[in-house]
Amino acid sequence: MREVFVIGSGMIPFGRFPQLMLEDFAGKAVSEALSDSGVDRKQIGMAVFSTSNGGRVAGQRVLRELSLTGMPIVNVENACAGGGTSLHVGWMAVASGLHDVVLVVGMEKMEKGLIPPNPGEYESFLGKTLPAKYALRASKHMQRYGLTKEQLAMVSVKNHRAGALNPNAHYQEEVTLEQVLLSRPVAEPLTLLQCCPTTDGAAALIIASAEVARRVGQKPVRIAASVLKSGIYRNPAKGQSASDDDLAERAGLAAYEMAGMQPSDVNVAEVHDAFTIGEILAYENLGFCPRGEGGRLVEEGVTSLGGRLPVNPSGGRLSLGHPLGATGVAQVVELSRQLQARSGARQVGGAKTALAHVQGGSTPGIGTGAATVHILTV
Amino acid sequence: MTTKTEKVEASTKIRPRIGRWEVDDHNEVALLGTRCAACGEVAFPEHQICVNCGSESTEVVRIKGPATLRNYTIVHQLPPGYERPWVVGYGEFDGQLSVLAPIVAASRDELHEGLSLSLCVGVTKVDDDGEEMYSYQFTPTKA
Ligand SMILES: [Zn+2]
Repeated sequence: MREVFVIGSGMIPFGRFPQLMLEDFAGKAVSEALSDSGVDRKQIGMAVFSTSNGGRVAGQRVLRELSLTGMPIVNVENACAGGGTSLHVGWMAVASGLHDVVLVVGMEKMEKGLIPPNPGEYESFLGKTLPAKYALRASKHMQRYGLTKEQLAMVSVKNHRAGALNPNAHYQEEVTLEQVLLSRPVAEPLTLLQCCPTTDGAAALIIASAEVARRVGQKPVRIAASVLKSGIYRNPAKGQSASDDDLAERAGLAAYEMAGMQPSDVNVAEVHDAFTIGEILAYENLGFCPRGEGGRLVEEGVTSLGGRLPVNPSGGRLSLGHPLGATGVAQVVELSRQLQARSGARQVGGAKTALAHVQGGSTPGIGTGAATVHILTV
Repeated sequence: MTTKTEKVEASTKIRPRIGRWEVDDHNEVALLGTRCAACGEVAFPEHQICVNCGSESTEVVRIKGPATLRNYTIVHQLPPGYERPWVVGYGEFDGQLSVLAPIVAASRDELHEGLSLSLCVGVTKVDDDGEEMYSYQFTPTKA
């Protein structure tokens, strides 16, 4: 397999665009990534798009506006992991030698309020909304390991503080611990400010072979690992770890092995914080700390900007926003710019290795549908 | 024997596949699951192919309470059609399997890990057409 590099990145400021269609705003992220990379648009051998709500041939509809069609265009759906999945598909195309330059785009226009479930997602009929799914994971962690409500809320405080420094973030305001704890309960112990807002957005990457990366664009960022996994059946009643945690653990282990690295090599990370507990569990599942110590990690400031391992310097899903299909791509836009030392006030000094993690798609019986982990290095 | 399952199956609407249940003459509720002949894994809802080992040799079993409450959440934001707040949680049956269900007629004070839960059947949601939709539920076991 060939080495694959991120050579260009682009994203639009995330927000709410009730009057716009994907065709109106996603192309701007593509144009920015293209000019950032310096490649001629004719060099793009393939495009991979991710969206969950975008409808049929969404990628073609966006690229038509840019007069940029004719090559293979793949439209990917994998819920919250869709963006990471589209990068994985693009990575396969370059790594295999089939294409030298691939455009990867994540984009979404969200419905207001709770994400509506699929008919087959039967537990949601019983009242297990998406926030409730994460609330159940939180209550289990509190019982078993003594995670506190305050530690949970600190994830939101930390990520909003980072988001306040990100001009692309949907919410660029800091929040206090008290505000987070006293915001209205959604599914206990999760309060409103511990749940990602409703956000529209688009992000794009140009990835390429080493030969192309040498010739053009920004300082190339190597994709040291690209891993996609799906959930499997686990039975916690028999002492097995929950499917949701098992999925992230397997994706993380496979990524570290592919990169020839370990968790301690990571300098900065973007993890799936659609809800505060998601970030705490990601710390543990990805090996940033032992099982049960995720709450302490955030409380001690290890994962804050300025800490040993800053997590979600973009503001994360909680502050940057979480347009499902866009998220996994936006994480890699943030991290590749961090590794290129282009992140302004939220720059993580001297970062050489970064990790991006998304997971999602509530699937009773196998927990979570999909997870991706990418490791990037310079 | 009457079962609410029949009522659900008689409808032409697409229904969430939450799994089947039975109510016997003593008003006791049993969930219909499957046990794998090869590895013994018990699954609910029923799976003709074993969720654990992939064997196609499974038989229907009746899963009865009491169950033990493992974890729960009090849900405040829900789609239309639910009572608010609404409690859901995992009940564990004899170290064999955990089942997610609404928890009804439980006060906030009595909800805790280890609480004994009995199965019952009740209205979980009123759908857009005003039809009451039933499901299995948990309720604290009466002493
Ligand atoms: Zn089996």
